[in-house]
Amino acid sequence: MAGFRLPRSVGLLSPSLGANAICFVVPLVYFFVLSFLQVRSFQVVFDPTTSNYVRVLQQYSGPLVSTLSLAVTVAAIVTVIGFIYASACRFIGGSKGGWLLAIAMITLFGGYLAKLYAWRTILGENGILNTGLIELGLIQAPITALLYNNFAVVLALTHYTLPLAILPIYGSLRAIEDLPIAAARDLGATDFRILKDIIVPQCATGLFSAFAMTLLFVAGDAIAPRLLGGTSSSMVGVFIQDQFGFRVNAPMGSALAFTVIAGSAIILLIIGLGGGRLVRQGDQP
Amino acid sequence: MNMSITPLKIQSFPAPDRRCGKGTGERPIVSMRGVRKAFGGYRAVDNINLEIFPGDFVAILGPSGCGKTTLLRMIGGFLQPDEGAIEIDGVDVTKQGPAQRPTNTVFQGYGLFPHMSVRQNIGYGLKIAGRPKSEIDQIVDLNLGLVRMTEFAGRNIRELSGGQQQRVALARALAMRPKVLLLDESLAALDLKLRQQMQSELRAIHQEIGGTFVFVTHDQGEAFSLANKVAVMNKGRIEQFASPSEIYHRPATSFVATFVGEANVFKCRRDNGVIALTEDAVFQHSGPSGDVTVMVRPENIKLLKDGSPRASEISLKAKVADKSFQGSFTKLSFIDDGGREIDVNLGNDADLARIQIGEVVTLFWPANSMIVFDE
Repeated sequence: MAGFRLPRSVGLLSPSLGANAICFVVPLVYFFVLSFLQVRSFQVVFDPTTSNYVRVLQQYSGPLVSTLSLAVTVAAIVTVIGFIYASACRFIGGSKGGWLLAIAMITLFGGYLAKLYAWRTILGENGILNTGLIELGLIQAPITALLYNNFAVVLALTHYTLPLAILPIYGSLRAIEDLPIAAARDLGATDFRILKDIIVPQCATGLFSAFAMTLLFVAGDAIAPRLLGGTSSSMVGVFIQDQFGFRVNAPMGSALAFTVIAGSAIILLIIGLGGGRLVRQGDQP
Repeated sequence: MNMSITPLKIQSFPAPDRRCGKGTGERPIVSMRGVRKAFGGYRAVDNINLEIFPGDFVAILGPSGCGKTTLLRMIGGFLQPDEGAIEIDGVDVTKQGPAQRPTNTVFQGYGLFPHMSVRQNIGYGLKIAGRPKSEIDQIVDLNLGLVRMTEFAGRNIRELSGGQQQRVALARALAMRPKVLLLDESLAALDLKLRQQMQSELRAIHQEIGGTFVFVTHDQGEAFSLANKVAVMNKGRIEQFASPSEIYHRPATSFVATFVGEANVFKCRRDNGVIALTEDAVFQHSGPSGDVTVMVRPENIKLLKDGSPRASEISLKAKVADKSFQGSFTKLSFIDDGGREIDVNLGNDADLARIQIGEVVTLFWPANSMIVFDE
């Protein structure tokens, strides 16, 4: 049977496979190959080497680690808040849940840059927050520690990625029926046990996608750290942009990018496996 | 739930298996007093007083929207009554949720945990209760056997048919050995053959392990074949709570009479202790003068071949309007002079074959087979 079905399903999938190949696979392969080449006199020359990767690990391991840990932090915060918010959308009765979701989705209308600048306006020395607090007499001088550091970056990235994370979690929560929850309660489960045994295991995929999406977005971002981060919070995205930009070293930039991808993939693998085990443990009788 | 379980012995319910607990002076296992529940002005359940005794197999029977499921959910703790009190085994549980009550429900949609295996589903309640793993395994095995699903223990829920899921849901509730097992139209989703099979298995399980079962159904055949007591509900009230045969032969209200089984209903008057169905069909029946409803079951009516009916019998002339073979009997529809339809169920015999549509015959039935309700 499978032998007969395969050509047909391939045929049906070919538009999306084609789009995937052109927009995703081809560029990735191109940059992957590029990451093993070198630049001499501003020209990429075909001279395969692993020296780019060696340099990445020697010069950029600090930013790599801090970038990935910042990405994990944001992804964890966003997944938890996203789960709480999506649960509210799913379990608050009537049309209220739908409205909650709509409100979260409306915030997607604001562009990324607009949001980052908004945070600058809010958190800046003469920003809304500081002037407001001074007006209220709560502080004497503006707090300068609000902006140009990791806190501001985490805050802005959490704000931006949250609605995107809510969607997959909400989607998987929607698939959970009310009856098994009622049945668990009937069998003596407390709210916490229902959350742990019934709801979280069934929306594990949604939680993981939300986490992965946020992690990958943050790990590759070059704009939020540039606008809101301090000098101490250099993220790899900024360096990658530099390599492709005024340093004119695309191979080096590609090597950095693939190191970030590899690091993110390892983190997701660990979390996927660990989370899966945790979930399975949860429903052992 | 707090009773001790001896897993390998099947008779682990605390209550003795008795067919009917009425009138023994024993304490009811479920007692509802003045229970009311309204949904936005609509009275779903209206002043229910009900006592269920240990070992009873009770059916709550009624048309859709009569409040039967609401009543069951209030016993299970999924709904709180607006008024009144519910006691289970002598404890007031009115304010308790389903987790605290010694009841378990088999839901109409089963409500199985799709991410767990059959075994994990059945063991879940015991795991919550903190039972040791070896004990859980024993109880799960016992209940898998009870619903004949042993070979499916490791299966995923999604791989099971509707009937198999039904059995798992039943085993999951039974594994808790609830003081009262509640079944919410649990068999309604199954096809006829499977439903009949599950009915006989439910009956067998109840006989095997005892305990108190309460189930909701709109199917009177199911109610009669399973239950030893039936509560017939209409518009949020219990119209009658009695044994199936009492409900069938001595319905308390005209609703029960018409809802349960087939019935011919005559709307007429009683004047000075005399009721006249037609000009000829007159009989004495003491009671106040006024409108009455007279009911007679189709199987109690016979055809008069010759002679005249006895004094204790009622007779009237009617025309055969329709005749349909039903297998074990034949249903004849008559129309009398007043345009009333009368249904008669007759055993298949040679005489029946000669009856032609359009023919006028004399019908008769014993006066004491009629039931009269004052309106």
